This record gives sequence, C-alpha cells and structure tokens, in this order.
Amino acid sequence: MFDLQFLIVALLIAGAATYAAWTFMRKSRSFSKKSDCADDCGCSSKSKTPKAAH
Amino acid sequence: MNQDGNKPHLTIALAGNPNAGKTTLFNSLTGLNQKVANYPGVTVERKEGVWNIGDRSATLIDLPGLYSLDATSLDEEIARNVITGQVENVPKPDVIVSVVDATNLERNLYLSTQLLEYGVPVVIALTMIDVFEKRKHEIDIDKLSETLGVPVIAVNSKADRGKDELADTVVKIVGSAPKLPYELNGDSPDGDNSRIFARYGFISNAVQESVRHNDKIEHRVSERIDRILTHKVFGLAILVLILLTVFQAIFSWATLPMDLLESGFGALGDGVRTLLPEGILADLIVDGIIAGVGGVLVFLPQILLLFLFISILEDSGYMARAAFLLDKLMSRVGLHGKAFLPLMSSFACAIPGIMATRTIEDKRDRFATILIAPFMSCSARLPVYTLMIGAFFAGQTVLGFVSLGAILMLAMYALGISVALVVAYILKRTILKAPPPPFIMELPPYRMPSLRTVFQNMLTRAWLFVKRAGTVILAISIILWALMYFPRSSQPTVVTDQQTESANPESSQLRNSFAGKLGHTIEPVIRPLGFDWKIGVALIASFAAREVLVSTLSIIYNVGKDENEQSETLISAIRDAKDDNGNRVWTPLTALTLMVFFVLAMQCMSTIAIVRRETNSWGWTIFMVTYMTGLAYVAALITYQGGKMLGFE
Repeated sequence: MFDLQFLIVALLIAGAATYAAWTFMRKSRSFSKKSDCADDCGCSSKSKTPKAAH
Repeated sequence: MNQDGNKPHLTIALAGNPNAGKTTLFNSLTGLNQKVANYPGVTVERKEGVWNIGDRSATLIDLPGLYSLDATSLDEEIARNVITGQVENVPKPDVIVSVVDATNLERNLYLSTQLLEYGVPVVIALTMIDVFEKRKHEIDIDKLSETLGVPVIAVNSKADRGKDELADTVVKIVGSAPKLPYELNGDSPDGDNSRIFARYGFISNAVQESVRHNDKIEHRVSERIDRILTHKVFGLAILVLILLTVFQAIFSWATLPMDLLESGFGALGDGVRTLLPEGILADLIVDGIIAGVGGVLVFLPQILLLFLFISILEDSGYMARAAFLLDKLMSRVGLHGKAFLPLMSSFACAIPGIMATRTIEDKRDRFATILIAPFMSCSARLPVYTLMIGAFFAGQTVLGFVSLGAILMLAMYALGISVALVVAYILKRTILKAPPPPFIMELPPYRMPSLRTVFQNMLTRAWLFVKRAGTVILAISIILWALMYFPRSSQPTVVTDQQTESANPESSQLRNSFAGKLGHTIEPVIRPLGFDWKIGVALIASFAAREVLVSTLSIIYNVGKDENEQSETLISAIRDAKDDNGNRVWTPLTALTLMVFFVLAMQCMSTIAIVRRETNSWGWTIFMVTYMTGLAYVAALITYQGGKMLGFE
C-alpha cells in the first residue's frame, strides 16, 4: 500500500541511489582514457606531447 | 675578458636545489617577463625570461630544481644537457648562476661544485641570507669565494640586495674558465664514489673556514638525539615503543567518548522509535540511517586521536627520523627514497599518497610505489580494526600492562608494511626491474609542535571523516538497508525450514532479502575463511569503502534483530551472533582473520580510480586489484586454517 511513510522511504532510497550513481559516474571519469597522455606514462600534471618554446 | 665577454646577447642558466629561492630570484631578475614551455619530447618544464643587464639583454634559463647532476633523473639529465649545450634550440649558457640557500650551505654547494666541473663560468647567488643572519650565524663571503674560486654574491630579492652586484659579476666572468678548487680522482678504483667524497670533503672544509654557527649547543644536542633515534637497533625499538604508546592511548582515551557516542546514537534511535509511528520509515531511520552512519561515527574520537598523534610526531621533526630509519629498509628492497613520503601519506589515505608518487621520476619506481601504497593501513581501516579488537580482545594485557589491542593494532600496521616491502622486492626484481637511485634525505631541526598546526591537521582529517559518513556512507547505508529490508516476507521460505528457524533467533526476513540471497551465493567462497554469509554481505559492500563494513554489520544486526529484542551495541551483537546450527559466528580467530583480510585487500573504489588515472592503464589497475585481493584471501585462509590447526578459536 502506498502510504505516506512508504512514499518518503521510496524517495530517500531513490535519492541515495542517485547520489551513489552520480558519485560512481564522477569517479568513473577518472577511469576513462586521457587523450593527452601516452600509455603507461601517467598523467601527472602535464601532457607528454612535446611543445615548442614560444 | 675574452671575445665572449663582448657578446651582445648572453645566455645565463639559473641552477639550484629545490626550495633554494631560485624561482623568487628568477622572477626578481626577469620582472616576471617569462615564457613557459616544455623541453622537447618530455614533460619537464622549461622556463625562460629576459634579464636586462645594463645595456645588454640576457636570456635567463631557469633549470629544474636539482640536488645533483648525476643524471639519475630526467630533470638532472636535462639540466646536464642544457649546461653542455646539447638541447635543441637552447644555446650553451655563457654563465651559470648557482643559487645556494645560505641556511643549507653544505647540501646546496654540492650542486655548485658539480657545476664547476663543466668548465662554464659560475657565480654563486647566496639566497636566504636574511634568515641566515636572523639566526645569528656569520659568514665570511670573501673567504668562501676565495676557497671556492668563484664569485659569491649575497642576494635578497625582497630587499633588492645584491641584484646589481650579481649583474656586474655575470658580465665580468663571461668567457673566463673556472678553475676546479679540488682534485678529482675519477680514474681511481672507487670511480664515482671518490668524486663524491672529494666534493663533500672540499665543501666541508670550505664551510668550516667561512661560516661561524652560533647554535652549536643546539646542533650538538640535536645530533646526539639523532644518533639514538636513527640507530638501526635503538631507533627501531623507540619507533615501536612510540607506536605502541600511541595505539594504547588511542584505545584507552577514546573509550569514554566512544561509549558516550554509542549511547547517544542508541538513545537517538530509541527516541525516533518513540516519536514516529511504527512502520517502514522508523525502520529506515533507526535500522538504516542511525545504525549505519552512527556505527561509523562512533569511531570519530579514535580518528581524532590518531591524527593528533601523527601531527605531533610530524611537527616535532620525529617523523623525518622514522623516515630515515625505514629508508634504509626501503632501499634494500629496491624502493626509491622518494617513495617514503607517498607511503607515509597513505597511512592517512592512499589517494593523496598515490598522487604524491608524481615526484618519483622513474616510471618503474613510481609504479612500484603506487602498487604497494594501499597496503599502508589508512584511517578507513581503523574502525574495522577497532571493532574487532573491541569485541574480542578488549581489556586483555600482555606482561600485565601492555594492551593486547595496541599490540594487535601495531601488528596490523606492521603486516601492511612488511607485505608492501616483500611485494616491492618482488616487483623491483621482476616486472619493474630498475636499480634504486641514490637519495639524500634532509633531517629538519627538532621543535616544539605548533598547537595551531597540530589542531588544524587533526580537524581537517576529522572533518573529512564526518563528511564521508554524512554523504557516501549515508547513501550506501540507505541502499543496503533497502537490500536487507526487501522483499518483505512474513513466513520462513525456501532457505530455512521451521526447525532451523526455531534454533536460529534471527529473522527470516534478512536471510530472504536481496542482500541475504547475495550473501548466501558467495558463502561457499568465504566459508574456508570462517566467514558466514552476513560477513560476506559486509565484505561485498565494503568494496565501495572499507569503513562500510562497520555500517553494514550495524545494519545487518539491527535489521536481523527480533522485534522484541532490546537494542544492543554492535560489539555485543557481534559477540552473541549465532549461525544456523547455534554455533557462534564470530570468534577471536574470525576477528583476526577479518583484520588480516582488511590489511591486504583492495577495497576502495576511490583508490582504484586514482590508480587508473595515475598509471593511465587498465592493465596495472586490474593487476593491482587482482593481486591484492588474491593475497588477502590467501593470507586470511592461512590465518584461519592455521589458527584452527594450532587449536585457536
């Protein structure tokens, strides 16, 4: 039976699930491959692509 | 002055140790008129600026911060190539300005002496002279210059001191050839070592002749203390003693506030039950949110105390001595000296630790450090250790006064470090084979810890813990509660029959829930470790974050509780938990096995993400998760089965 208590609980569960999914998505961005980093070089702070001096 | 002295445009290189004041001087000489790019083909930053010297202009090249020119790192190799004119589009410097920190003369002059060996004119710019003079030290600059055989100019960028003199000197020495003030026996059987000794011997004499330190007594006392604290036997014994004291204090001092917090959350739950009508909402708030988040938050006093002690040890200068002690051990297994700081940071959290590995130049050294950093017992493991110790080993002492809990806690930290060293040893001799480069470690002076710094550090870490409990742990607690609460069943079903149900006081609801079914599915795999399906559910949930194990167990034992049961603490619920046959689920051996598993398992989504980013490789990330989980399983299996064979329960 969809009473008020059940509705609040359903909203809380949906909110928690959304937050967890959003956090996971945010983290998973870290999992994606970086285009400006060569394989296994690590993407510390700089691109590995050589740049000429100005 | 020869022909070079009349060159209209000069190239001047600025070289010095990191933090020697090089950037401040560079900015002061170029007036922030600079260009930043990379050296061709590498990520090392190349900073150039224009320095107007009278009617001439010079290109000032800021070399990377260096301790030596031994070319053991990429930075050193590039600096050496710039000095010898081997870098494309970078002219060979006419003069090198060697930036030397006056407060760290001996260390800084090592690089200066190496620069002299390249035949390029060198002038020494003595920075931090204001700090040096404030400490009432005295320096005879003329004497130092005479001994080194190069001009020495004291500069203070903030006060504009020495800038003009430096410019004049640079113009004056262009085209001259420096004379090496000491002999190098490069052909001797000692090879490079004899060069290092020759340089240090010369520097030591030069500093002794030109500098008068007026803090000799403090220096002598500090040296005496260092001799004990960095001694390979006494130093290690003192380190163990300090850690034991810290853990013992954490357990005894945190007991009262933890009990208060636990009673507070219990009372809050009871209050909510009284206020709200009986039903699903009250169940979620009490059994899900309060039990889950409260179950983790009760450990806040211990977290506060742990970081209070870590901050005091760091700020007093002791941590650097501990680093020195362990550095010897680390270098024996092939780890880079610079790995110490990332590994130390990992005791708080592996994420900043792994990010700190960026300072390690060699990829193999860096990856080896990344792959072992999660073995350091982070603060998220503390609630797990404390729960297990509190439930089964509390109040027990060894030798009548040393708490068994403190010993076990120390043992868990030691296990993590030992396994990390063994893994590093294997990695550095197999897939990440590379010789360990030399590393110079500087010991900071002892000082009274600053109350402000200590409390700031402690509160920052505590806030992170509370924030995590209020966000990620809260969300996971609600989801886990739902997985344990649904589907609703009023009658015992397939999994249990009436007989078992009567022998087992736990509700059939939990075992027939989604989480319960998941737990039963993995139970055969974890049974050999002495874990039942409930622990299995907590283990799966804790892959999101380690402390989730505590909140999950808290929810499990709340949801699984009979309706007429009195609310009890998590510790007593764990102690009293029974399996289907009426046997105790948890024994001291199970607790120990779980702790061992947690020391070694890779249960942190955020750490996995950061490893993926820092290695930019799925291969290394999967390798790390697999080998750590495998190792954790095997170690837990050996602990449990070995313990049983030895007659422990």
